[in-house]
This record gives sequence, structure tokens and C-alpha cells, in this order.
Amino acid sequence: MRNDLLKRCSIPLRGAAVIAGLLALNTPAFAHTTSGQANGFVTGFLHPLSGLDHVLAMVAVGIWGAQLKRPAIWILPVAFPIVMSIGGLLGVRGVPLPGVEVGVAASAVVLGFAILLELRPPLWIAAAIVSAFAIFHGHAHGTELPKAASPLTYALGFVLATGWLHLCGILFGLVEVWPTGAKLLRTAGAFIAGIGVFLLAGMVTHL
Amino acid sequence: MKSSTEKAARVLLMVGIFSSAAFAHPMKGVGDFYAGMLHPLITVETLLPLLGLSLLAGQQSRETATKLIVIFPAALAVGTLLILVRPFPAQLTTSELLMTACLGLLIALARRIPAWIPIGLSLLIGLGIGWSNSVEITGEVSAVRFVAGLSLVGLLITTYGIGLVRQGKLEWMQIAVRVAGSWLAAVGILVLGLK
Repeated sequence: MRNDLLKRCSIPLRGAAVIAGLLALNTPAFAHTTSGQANGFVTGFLHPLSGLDHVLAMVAVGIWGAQLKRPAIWILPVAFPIVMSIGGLLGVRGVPLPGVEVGVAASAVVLGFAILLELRPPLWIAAAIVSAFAIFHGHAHGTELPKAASPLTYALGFVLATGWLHLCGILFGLVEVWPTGAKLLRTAGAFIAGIGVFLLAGMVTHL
Repeated sequence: MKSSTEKAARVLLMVGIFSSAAFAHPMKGVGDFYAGMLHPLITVETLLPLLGLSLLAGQQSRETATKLIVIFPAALAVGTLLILVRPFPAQLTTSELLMTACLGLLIALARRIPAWIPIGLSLLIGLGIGWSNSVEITGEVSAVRFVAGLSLVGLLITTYGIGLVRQGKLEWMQIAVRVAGSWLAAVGILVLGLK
């Protein structure tokens, strides 16, 4: 009977159950507020990995790129760091950007839904969406840069970590060639969007 | 029969296993020649434009790439002589970052560009790196050996970069080079913001 129940549950439904479980256990992640953490390559590398919002958004860029196939699979990860550096430049120069954390969390929501719904907009729109969010991610990293003991190695660390997360997303996204894999990706999209909504909700309740 | 990529990976693995930490400045026991070779490799400010130039050279025509193999090591050697004119100005580190950003953007675009652009960049980068490394030639350090090591490492990195990009027939290799270019551009632009 238990097996019958499991068989009747679709993969997205099981995914939703997992998401619900994780949401119950989660606390909001604020990667950018830790003071004095920027010291060099290792701290730079760990910075994007220290916030769930960053991790999910970066992986989502890779997965969405894989869903969109060529040339998006590589154009998005090429465009992202360059535009991110412009956002970072704003952060380094102290140019205020309102709602950075909201923008970062919103990136997880939007990209998660794009994966869930298998949205396939024209390439330039996809690139524009990803680039817009890259500004927020870059600004968040950039504000930490002046505190770094070695800004160059810090920047190198977080750019490499960002690229590594994209690569993880792309490699995961390659499972789309199998029918079950496509469902798995949509489930992952639901997971990412769910976490993003949770983080946004957390910010709203903290206001 | 092992592919050249597999062989290269094995060599890198062995080098990685047997390598020990390199400390450029007090290079006691390393020798002046190897100090010249190692110094630009363990200074991130110079390593990034070195890598960028080698990848950009690989994306260009065979003729341009061949010219760069000759011009860049020569520019490194000439750059060390600039110390005789005046000390290395610290402000030039900003130009190294600017070069890194430019190289990264050009690599990410992956376009054949007029030969004078990569040649001009290689001259500027070579002179800059040579000049900045020349401050290590002090006291008992043999200038000839140090400069020979510096020029050789410039030659090797440029040649390997060209070989990597030009021999990498696989599409993913070309994409990986463009991605690496975008990373270089990002790092250069970000740190330029602090200058």
C-alpha cells in the first residue's frame, strides 16, 4: 500500500514535499552582513558559497542555460561575471543600490520559476534577466571588497566560486536529455523558487 | 594511445602532487634563473595578464600568434632594463589591472582582431611585467640569469596558451576559454574600482 502511494506521487509532488520539509528547517541566509570576513582568496571563494540565496541563484543560471541549450548554455555564464563586475564596481565605489538583498533573493525566485515553467524567451531577454540580477549579486560582493587584505585575490576567489556554481548548474542541467531528468530540473526549479520566496518572506517579516 | 590532453593532465597531476609552496621574494636556494621564472607566476597581478595574453594569442591567426611568441619575451627582457631609467612606479599596477580587464573582454568576445591590438597589448604588458619584476634584481642576484628566466617563462606561457587554444578542437574547450576570459575581465574591472 505504501508502494502504491509512492507510485502515485509524481516527482514534482515529492519535490514539493522535500521543499516543504527544508523550508520548515531553514533560516534566512544573509551572506553579506558578516563584517571583516574579506581577507583573501579563501574568503572571496567562500563568500558566494556562504549564502543560500547566492548559491541557488548561481546554480539556477547554469540550469536555465542548460534548459535553453546553445548558445545560452555558455552565453549566460560568460555574461554573468562581466555584468556582475559592473555591479561590484558600484559596490566598491560605495554607490548605493537599494534592495540588494531583495534583488538577490528575487533572482532565486525568478530563475527558479523560469526553470520550473521551462520558460524559453529569446536569448537577449534571458541574458537581460540574468544580467539584471548579476548587478545585485555583484554589488553585494563588491561592498566586501574594500575590506579585503588582498582585494585582487578576494575578487579572484569569488569570481571563481561564482563560475564553479554556474558549472554545477550546467552539469546538473545536462540531465534534461532524459524525460525523468527534465522533470527533475523542474523540481529543482520549484525548490529554488520556493527557497527564494521563503527568503523574501523572511525579509518582509524583518522589516 | 593516450591523447595529448590526458598526458598533459597526468603531468599537471604529478606536478601538483610533488609541488611545494613557492615563496618568490626570499628565494634562497632556488637560484636566480628559477627566481626569474617563478616570480611572475606567484604574483597574481602579473599572472592574470600573462594567462590572458596567452589565451588571446591562441584565439588569433597563426601569424599573429607567432609574432607574439617572439615579441612578448623580448618585451619582458626590455622591461627589466627600464629600472635603469627610473624605479618602477606603483601606479602602473593599475594599468596591469586595466590590461587584464581588456584582455578578458577580448577573450570573452573571441573575435579575430587586428594584429596591432594583441601586439600592442603584449608590448605594454611585457614592458610592465618586466619593469615590475626588475625590482627583485638586487645585490647578489644575477640580472642576466633572472631576466633569462623571466623571458623563458613568458615564452612558455604564451606558447602553451596558444597551443591549448589552437589545438583544442573540442567546442567546449573554446567555450571554456571564453568563460575564463569573462572571469579575467570581472576580476580586472572589480579591482580597478579600488584604484
